[in-house]
Amino acid sequence: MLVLSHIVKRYGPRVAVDDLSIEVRPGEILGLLGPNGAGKSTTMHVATGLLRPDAGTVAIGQHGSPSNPEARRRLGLAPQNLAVYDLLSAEENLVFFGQLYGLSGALLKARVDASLAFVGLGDRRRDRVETYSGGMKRRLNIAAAVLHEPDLVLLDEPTVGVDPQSRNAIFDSIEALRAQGRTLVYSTHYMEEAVRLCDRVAIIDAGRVLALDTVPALIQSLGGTPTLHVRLPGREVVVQTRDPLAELNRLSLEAPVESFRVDEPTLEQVFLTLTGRTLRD
Amino acid sequence: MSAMLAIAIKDLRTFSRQRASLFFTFIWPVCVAVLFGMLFGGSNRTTPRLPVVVVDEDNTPTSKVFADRLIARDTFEAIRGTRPEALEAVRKGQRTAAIILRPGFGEASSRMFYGTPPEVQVYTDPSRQAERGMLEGLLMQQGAERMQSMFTDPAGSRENVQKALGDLKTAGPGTSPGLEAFLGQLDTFLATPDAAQLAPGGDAQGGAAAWEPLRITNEDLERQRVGPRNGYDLTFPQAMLWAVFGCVMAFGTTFASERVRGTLVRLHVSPLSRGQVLAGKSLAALLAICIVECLLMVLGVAAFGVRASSWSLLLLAIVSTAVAFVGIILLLASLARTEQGIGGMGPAVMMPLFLLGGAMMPLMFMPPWLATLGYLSPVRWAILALEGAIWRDFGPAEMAGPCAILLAVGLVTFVIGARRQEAE
Repeated sequence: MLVLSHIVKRYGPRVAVDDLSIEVRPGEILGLLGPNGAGKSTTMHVATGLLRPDAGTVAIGQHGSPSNPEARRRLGLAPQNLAVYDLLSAEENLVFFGQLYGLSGALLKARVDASLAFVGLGDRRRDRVETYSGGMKRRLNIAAAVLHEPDLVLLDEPTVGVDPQSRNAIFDSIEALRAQGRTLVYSTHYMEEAVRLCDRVAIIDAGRVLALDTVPALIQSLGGTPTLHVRLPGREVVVQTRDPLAELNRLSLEAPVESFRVDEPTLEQVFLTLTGRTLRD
Repeated sequence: MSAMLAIAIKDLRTFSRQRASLFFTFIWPVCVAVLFGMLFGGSNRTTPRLPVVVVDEDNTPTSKVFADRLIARDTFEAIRGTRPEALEAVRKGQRTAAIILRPGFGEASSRMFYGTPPEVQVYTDPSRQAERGMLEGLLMQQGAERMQSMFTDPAGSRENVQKALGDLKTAGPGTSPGLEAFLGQLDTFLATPDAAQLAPGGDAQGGAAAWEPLRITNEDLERQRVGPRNGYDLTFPQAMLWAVFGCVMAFGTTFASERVRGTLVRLHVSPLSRGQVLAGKSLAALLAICIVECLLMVLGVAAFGVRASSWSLLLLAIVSTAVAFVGIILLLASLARTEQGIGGMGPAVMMPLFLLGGAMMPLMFMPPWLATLGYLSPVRWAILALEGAIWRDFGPAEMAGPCAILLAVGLVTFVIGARRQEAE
């Protein structure tokens, strides 16, 4: 659905994207996970044709480069910035964006209605966006991206700065899009979002893809071993082991076990393994 | 095309919802136009004394008295002159009307209620219909007053009455028996002592109801304008440029705002080309500038007596101005990348252009060296084009120069601005 091959993008001397290659499969949600400044948004902008790469190629489905208007017609973008007009109502925003994609008449009205219902803003459709909360604006941002029913939807950090309730509503929307069979690229620096939503995750840092696989596969290969915490009379034992149950049995023979817990490896540990630092450094 | 129109409509809609922009594009220019229009002399239509020239071609005592009374009226600011002088003064717009007492005025004045009344020719510019109507009323009033005065001079009036009776008898007995009987009784009355105490205002209609005290002939005389009709002719072109300034700031900010807030990203991700996006946004600015200029002109015409000497050339001037400043908006938006940048750079660039261009002080009041510097400012050419269509009586050839310069400024700045935007 989307193929990025050996993309390089520089801003002056700084390399924002460094020989990045990703293939997004039809119907999957591919996560771009990395800290701020890792090159996720630049990758998104190159993928949508907003930025011209210094090297490498981008292909969207069978339509090729995003410089082709037909290719751009097949994709929808929810930028990290809230790309909606505050002085217009939600309905006016969506009507305008729909007209950009050639929608008109009854079809436009139907798509506007469906998109507003999809993000749960139907009852506020005639209110100006300037009166919306941050979460509502984020949801409208997503509605504008899916209004024209694109095959490929790119969501650039869609939950930044939203309250938990709106975040859950956004997650529901994204899962509904997956159920509709759409292909999504989802950039985030929140591990839990990548784990919950993404079929595969590309871990990006300094403009390079450090690893790309399913979350379990990444954890298995790069997350290290589980950590067993056991409280025995008068002491606590912490052991890293591939078989926590066997280790727990062995310790229980030494002394009665008062309590225990097993910390499974996470994407955080994967990132730590790959970069030597945590996601929030 | 429909997508470009959608962009234009969206921009106009957001523009119309920004109160500050509306203030600076309409309310403020109107304030400027009205305030400075009043300072520069306001409208001639409200001048209490009507400037006229009185020509006495009869040169009889009666016509002289009539002319003197006319000149003495508070409603006129009248001077005497010859026919050529009077017509020239009206043609040049120095006087609103020429009032000519035709030969035979005095002789006709002696005929009461019959025959041809005293004849007065009035020359005015055809556009001065209001003044013409007012003048006609005032002349009729003075004619009626002249008749009233007859009754306050019984001896003189009796002489006229007896002359009138003699004329009627000469014309043949029974020509106008009612009038003859009335004049006979009037002659008898005027011979009594009571007539000397008659107050003015008596009714002497009798059998001559259709008779008028004066015959007024209105003549058109096209005015050759050499300056603005009134202060508003000067200030409304300036106000239109202030409105353009408001549009420059509003749409420059919109350009920057789209970039900063990320909506431009969404426009560029759509199937539209960057040229189409730019064209749509430029169309909005172009329409907004044209609309506010037209609205100001409508207001000027409706409320302040502003008139265009050529409406088609005025439209050309408005469109040329809009084209020039759309290019400038684009260039400014490409130089100042943020809303704050536009807020700072916009006035810094535009104010000197407005000062030099005559938007703050009319070009005709500027010292020569400053007026010469003004050639560097597109504002000067815009005001010149607008003034050309409003009161300078420009023809197409004279209008071609300023409009061509404005279109060239628009084209050059648009290309530079578009290339800078593209390079981003």
